Amino acid sequence: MKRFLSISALVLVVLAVMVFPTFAKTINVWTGFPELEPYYKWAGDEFAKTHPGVQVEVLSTSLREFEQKLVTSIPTGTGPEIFDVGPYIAIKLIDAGLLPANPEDIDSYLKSGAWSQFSIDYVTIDGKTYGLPMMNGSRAALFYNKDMFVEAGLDPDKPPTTLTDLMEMARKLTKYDEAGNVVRSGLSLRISGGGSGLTEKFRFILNNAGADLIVPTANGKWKNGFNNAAGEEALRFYIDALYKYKVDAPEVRHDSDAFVTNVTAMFMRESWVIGEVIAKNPELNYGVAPMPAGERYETLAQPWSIYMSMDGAKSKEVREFMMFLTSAEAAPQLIELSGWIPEREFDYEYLVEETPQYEVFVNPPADLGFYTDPVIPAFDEVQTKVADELMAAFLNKDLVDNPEGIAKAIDDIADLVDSILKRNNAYGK
Amino acid sequence: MQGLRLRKYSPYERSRILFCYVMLLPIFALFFVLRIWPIIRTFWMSLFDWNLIGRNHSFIGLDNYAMLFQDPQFLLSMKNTFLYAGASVALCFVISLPIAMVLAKKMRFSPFYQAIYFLPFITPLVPMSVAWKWIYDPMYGILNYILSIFGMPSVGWLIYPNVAIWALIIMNVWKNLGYNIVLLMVGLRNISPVYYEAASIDGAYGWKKFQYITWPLLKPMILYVVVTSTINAFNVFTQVYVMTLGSQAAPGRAVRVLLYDIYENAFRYFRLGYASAEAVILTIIVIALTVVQFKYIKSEV
Amino acid sequence: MSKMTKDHSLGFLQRVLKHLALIIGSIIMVIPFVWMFTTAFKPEVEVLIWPPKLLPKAPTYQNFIDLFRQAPFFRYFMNSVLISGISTISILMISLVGGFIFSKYRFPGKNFLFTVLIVTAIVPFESYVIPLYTTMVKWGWINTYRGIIAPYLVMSFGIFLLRQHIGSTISDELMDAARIDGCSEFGILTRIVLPLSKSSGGALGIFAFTQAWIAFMWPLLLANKKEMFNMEIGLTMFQYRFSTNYSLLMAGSVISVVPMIIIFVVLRRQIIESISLTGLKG
Repeated sequence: MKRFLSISALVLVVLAVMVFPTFAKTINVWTGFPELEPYYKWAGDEFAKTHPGVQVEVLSTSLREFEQKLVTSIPTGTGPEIFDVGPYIAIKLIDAGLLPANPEDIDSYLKSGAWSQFSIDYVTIDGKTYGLPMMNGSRAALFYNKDMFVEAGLDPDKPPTTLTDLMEMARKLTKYDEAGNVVRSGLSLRISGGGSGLTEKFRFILNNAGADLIVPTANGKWKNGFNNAAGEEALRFYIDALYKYKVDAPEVRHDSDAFVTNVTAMFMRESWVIGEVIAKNPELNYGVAPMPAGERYETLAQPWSIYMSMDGAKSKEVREFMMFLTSAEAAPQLIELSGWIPEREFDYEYLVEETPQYEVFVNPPADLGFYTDPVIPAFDEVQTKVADELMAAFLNKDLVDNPEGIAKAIDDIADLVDSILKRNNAYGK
Repeated sequence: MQGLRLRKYSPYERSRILFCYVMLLPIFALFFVLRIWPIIRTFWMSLFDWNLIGRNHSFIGLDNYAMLFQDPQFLLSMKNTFLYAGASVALCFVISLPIAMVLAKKMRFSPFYQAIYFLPFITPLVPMSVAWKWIYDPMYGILNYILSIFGMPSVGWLIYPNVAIWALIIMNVWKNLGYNIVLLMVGLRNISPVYYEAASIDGAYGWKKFQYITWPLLKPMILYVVVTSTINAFNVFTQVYVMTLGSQAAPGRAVRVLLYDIYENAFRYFRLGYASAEAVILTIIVIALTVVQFKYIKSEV
Repeated sequence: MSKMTKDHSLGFLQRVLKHLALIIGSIIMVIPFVWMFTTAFKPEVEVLIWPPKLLPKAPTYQNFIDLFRQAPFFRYFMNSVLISGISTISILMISLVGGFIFSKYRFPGKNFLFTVLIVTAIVPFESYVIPLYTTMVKWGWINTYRGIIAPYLVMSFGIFLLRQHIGSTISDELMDAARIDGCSEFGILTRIVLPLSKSSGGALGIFAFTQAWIAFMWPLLLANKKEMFNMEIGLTMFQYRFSTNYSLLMAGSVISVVPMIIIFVVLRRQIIESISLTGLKG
């Protein structure tokens, strides 16, 4: 046993030496978006060419862990120097005094004309700017498979423009097996999966039906904005799609995966799907259209920024890398490697020529409106908990042709939203 | 006080006692920092409105507990955890007992079977959760394929709340079967053959032998297996975490269990006080189970 | 004669049925492993076909090459070895000393200290992870090896196990004889108790090693950077990135399962023994 102990101790020392390599100057970058990892890696390599000795380390974590890791690592100085994060998470950190306001060079870079006033305002809190808006985080549009449109006798150049059209076309595009099960969905909706994403996708329909998840009140607080006919209509849309018209089913593959592998005809997502298609199925014949309209004609579009830690802001290399990540020089790579659209002003003509599907994202129709996520700390909890409740409602077949049931479900979820807001002192009448 | 009492010991004994304290000091220092103090603090924190980011923690007495019992997510996670623990422990036991009884006797390949059944128990949870997620895949998973061979319809295993919890239970039974078998075999082999011989002379066979010899003599081991498995099941987290990760066919609320709810409240919403109250409830449940075990074993033996 | 063959054939039939049932059970037990292994060698296109085929049509190593290109699995593995190794050594030392003292000495406060140990053994680790975590934040031990390893340095169960073992294998007479020969108390520990505790020490070692190897919630909270991930967290994050690329994910799972399977094949008897030993006394 003694020998065993000493041998294993020796082995461990050797291992420890192997495992602890040190680098001269490392910039750690964290992202909650796995698809951004190649971009950060490219940018790091590129940056190292002009800054010898600098090494960029990228970590992509699930969004769920992101916040916790940031909040605990940033004050202790063990976190990243640079990270991208949603505005409603950044506000929590800024609130707690954990993020530095932009140093002068970053601030003047932001205001040098490359960003729209809207973007600058969005990252300004109490007169100070925080971070650099890197990409347009959630501008969503409708992806549709043109070959399937032709096959179903639809005009491939006339995608649905209203929610009613959307459902009708979806019905024509769905394929079933002999038993009547969906094998190819006409419209792929987000109906499962933990986390806030489900609510965010639900808002695509909810918003255009004419409701909001939460709305500001007169006294600067918030309350639920969907306990009404429009909210019920949005839930009914999902229920009808799943059980009445059967254009989608829980069992089939969903999301970009399904679109790329020809298992769905239409779905609503952000621009990065274009990159996904190029990488996984370049032959796919598809179009991208603006969100179908209901009461409203809008889409979610919010600036997604990169931020520095307190220590990071003190380092010249880190600040320079921040600026490089949002530079015009790097913008084409951001699009090519991740599919996301940069938030900065940029000439996209070459891009649309190359890949026409980008048109909707970079030159949206003039009458298309935009909405953003409310920048309050409780919003994340609202979205996440609503997602749980929505998922249960989506799986409830009893809601088909059951207006009372739908009204009750919406009412319950609205109560939940208000109770979360109350607990966070963010609720107002 | 201890110094006073030490006077009754001889110098020789005193040096030995000193030796004990010197040796135990570093050990208990570690235990104090890593176990005892955190346990005490969990109880303490559960009485506060304690946020991970905020600097102020306000004392709110038992309010966290009052809130818990009105929180539908907590109640759901309690229900799921009890169902998960109860069903998987019961199923696991019912399946493992006959296997253990067969394998405990001298038979060919017994060690081989034992190893196979035991294999899932020693494999790490994360890769196996990933593998099971793939088995449960509603479109391309092998489980639905096997069902289709028997003419059964596809099941969205990880999609529907009522099904997803059972999918997790099945995986847990698969994982822990070997553990139950090995322990029950130990228990069975410890029963002296003399009892069986005596019973045979009295003309007892089959079921009677089981009823009057095996069951009562195996009881302490059964109880041990059941209680440890139940405690283990109450601590389910990894599978749930891994299987709910990602946007595809992942059950969110469906399989919310106690530790997951604690984790989410503490490290996603930063409600440390509230999550501590949940942790205290978990602790109480586990202690209650253990006390039952000790009481029962004492009265039996 | 005829009666004997009848008995014989009945027994034979029974045996065959038993084996048949056990074999079917075994197949169910190994299907997840087989399915995982064969999927790992399939190209991605073959994963998405219906009906699924167990064996790949065009087996490929590509998934494994991609795997190591996408994530530092070797580093994850080394981290797991490091964490489990240090944890095992610490637990062995502490349990040996603690078990020895609690089984062979009498001293004031013994019962109290032992009760404290029992309490820490009962309360599950996950239930007091919150204050432990805030302590680590305060100390700045987040994302460090010392922070990740710390909670795995002690295991009260190890003390119980060795206490029982030492109590039953080492007699007081032996210790007195050693004392007469001029052996100090510490000498008894290193020269008599240590060599005689090999078997249960080995069982405890295996138990401690696997315990630390499958650590999940704690490293998930503590490790912030890739280079600090253990196998379990590394694979979890990997699955987040490639959530639907099942052939790649299965390759990752195979990588994390194989070392444990190898250890199991080599030490099968000891491992099963260690579990039955740990089950003997709670």
